[in-house]
Amino acid sequence: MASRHLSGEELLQHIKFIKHRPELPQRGGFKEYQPDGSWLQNKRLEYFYDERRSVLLEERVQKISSLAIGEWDEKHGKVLVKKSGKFWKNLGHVEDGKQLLFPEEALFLIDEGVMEVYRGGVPLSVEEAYSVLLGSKVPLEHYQAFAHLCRLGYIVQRFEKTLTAFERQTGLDENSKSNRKKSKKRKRQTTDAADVTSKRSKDGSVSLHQRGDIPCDSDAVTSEGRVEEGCWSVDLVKTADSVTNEVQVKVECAKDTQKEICGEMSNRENLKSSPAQLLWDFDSIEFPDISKETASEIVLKRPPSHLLPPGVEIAKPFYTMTIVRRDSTRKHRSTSNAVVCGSSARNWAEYKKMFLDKSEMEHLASSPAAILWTGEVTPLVRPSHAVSTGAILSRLRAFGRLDPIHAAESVNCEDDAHQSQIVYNVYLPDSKFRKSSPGSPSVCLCVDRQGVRSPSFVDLCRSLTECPRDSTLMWAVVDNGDVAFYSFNGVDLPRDESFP
Amino acid sequence: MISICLFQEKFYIWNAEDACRVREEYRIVGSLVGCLPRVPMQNLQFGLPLQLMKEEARFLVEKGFARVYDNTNIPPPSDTDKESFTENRKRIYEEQVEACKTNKEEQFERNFPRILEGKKKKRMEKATLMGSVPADDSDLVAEIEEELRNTQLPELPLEASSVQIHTACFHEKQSRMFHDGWTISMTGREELEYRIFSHFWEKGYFLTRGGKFGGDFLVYPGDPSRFHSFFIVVCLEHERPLSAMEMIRMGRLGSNVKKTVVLCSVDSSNEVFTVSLEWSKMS
Repeated sequence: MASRHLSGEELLQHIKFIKHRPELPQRGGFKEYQPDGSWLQNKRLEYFYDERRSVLLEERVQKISSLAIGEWDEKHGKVLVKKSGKFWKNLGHVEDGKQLLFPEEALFLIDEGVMEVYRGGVPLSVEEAYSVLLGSKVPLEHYQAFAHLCRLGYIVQRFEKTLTAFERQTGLDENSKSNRKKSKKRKRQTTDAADVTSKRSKDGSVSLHQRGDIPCDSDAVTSEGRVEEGCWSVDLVKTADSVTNEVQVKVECAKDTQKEICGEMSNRENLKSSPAQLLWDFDSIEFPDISKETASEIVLKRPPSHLLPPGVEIAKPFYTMTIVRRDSTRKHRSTSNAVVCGSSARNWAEYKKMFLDKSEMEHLASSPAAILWTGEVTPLVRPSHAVSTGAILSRLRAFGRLDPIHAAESVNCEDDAHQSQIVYNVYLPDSKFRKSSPGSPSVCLCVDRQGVRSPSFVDLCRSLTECPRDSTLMWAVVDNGDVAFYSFNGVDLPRDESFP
Repeated sequence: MISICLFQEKFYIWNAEDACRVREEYRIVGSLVGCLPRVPMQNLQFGLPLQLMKEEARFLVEKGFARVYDNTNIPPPSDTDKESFTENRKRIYEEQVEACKTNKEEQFERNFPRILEGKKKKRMEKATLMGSVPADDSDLVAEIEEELRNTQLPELPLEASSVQIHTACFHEKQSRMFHDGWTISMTGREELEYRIFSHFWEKGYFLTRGGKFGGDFLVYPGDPSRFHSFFIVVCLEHERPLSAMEMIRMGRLGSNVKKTVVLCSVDSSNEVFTVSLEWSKMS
């Protein structure tokens, strides 16, 4: 059935009505125990039904001046924003200089009544928007969870898997986050990529002249046009060839800045993704090979002048150097240490541990309980461990603290189809939120239908590896339009207090 | 006949009248899932569309109260659609301009004496300042009146006019692909749930989903807005063994929320079999 068409008068009346902040319809008030056919009960029910009818008959009305406009792009499956609004602060992204919205974001704005999306010259009704925008690509459950959170004020963005298991394990994700957060100052960038490149190169050459404190506060724009923050030094490295010549000339006057460039470069993992043209082309710089066993002399060639510090000149074109090798076969004076020395200790800590171990074993061998320590099976606890109850208990511990990454990797992928995928990043409502550098989400959300098997332990571990360290992993379970949130929280079992 | 929209294997009612009828006449509750137009940014009350359970939709179709249409592929708007849209927009703008004008005129007529007084006073003040006080002020009054009547009232600009974002599809000529009867396939589990749904409906109850209480359905003696539910229905296969742990779990849950847990199944003679769990004390 076709929807109602409101007349001009009705529209004006509605606007006035909304201006006076209407109340929510009552939810039924107190509840009765059971139907008793009384007139009062029926009257109450009738009142409820009437109110419900009039509320459901209300339509979404908006003034043209405050209405945002978008157009559906079938090919890319996104909505192009023609006239933006307040929502742009938290929703949407820029691609090729155009403002775009994901289908679920646009559908939410239509549902909220602040945007009109055109398709073929005619705006979509909410019913059509569900079918056209979500289509078969975005499941309804995802949209329902998204809308639920947006209505509460949270900022919800699509999740992109950027964290590898290794980064999560070693904590590199925290490092990169702190790097980004350091650069607080942001310059206004135009969305046109070409303009920005030229600006960047200008910045590069300008900031080089400033010696002394090098501020890490300029922006870099990646090839996709998304504004990313980073150190100015990376800017230099990524700019076009035309600038490198300029850069090389000036490099000679600033020795310290160069060192800093290299230092910064090694810290940034983002370099992995960009084909950086390095200042030092290690393919062309020759390093002498001092690893050859047989060589007793090596030749050092004069390095090219642009690599040398200013004012330094090397006289001869090459130098020869003799190598004195230690004879590894020469025997040292034997001490008790020598026996340990011969075994494989990779570093001092290991060596020290092995040495102590050895001396302890000797002591135990001379004790009355020596019989325990011979053979393959030896006691778990040694007399030296009797420092505290905690120390003994830690030796007897059957299981350690769970490391989800190891747990996930140790099991082979059998049932990949059922694995819950993280769908959204949820950020707390914040006036200081910036789409370009959102930081770590407070919640990583998986969405499932009611009735789907709940995640197994392995699923949980796998999902945890994709989630940044300081985000909570949560599940939104949608049951016929009703959204409930669940999470699995790690619990620390009580331990002996005396254990350090 | 109520129209039920099918999209991504879910069932929706987009028409407000249908959504009300389905509850008042046919005891089908469903759940509203859209933003409420008057207050969109909250999660206490929702607006259209009304999402129906698969059991509810099938029930309505099989009883002959409703029919299902597919909304998976909506064709782009035709030229007639575009024309009618532009005409409609123009019409509502003109109507709004008219309504605004009438409003303003009414206001003007009501306040005319006050405006006149005010203007007269201002003119008199100006005149005394300049030194020439007219003897007869009736001329002045007539002059001002003439002036006021001739001033044009500002028209409502297009930017300040309002438009409607339609909830349901508004193309009049849209041909909908209605299904003939119930054609959607259901799994064994869904068939079981449907049988039990019909069983309770025939007895005069209202049913909603019971996920929040660890069951399949919640059974209400009357409209869910006025009464609390009596039963938490759990659907099980008849031959399925039930462990003591599960029974305790369900029993505990039921007694904590003051509802009776009812275990339902369909036995070998195709009859619905129900049994309730009750927490009893042996003291």
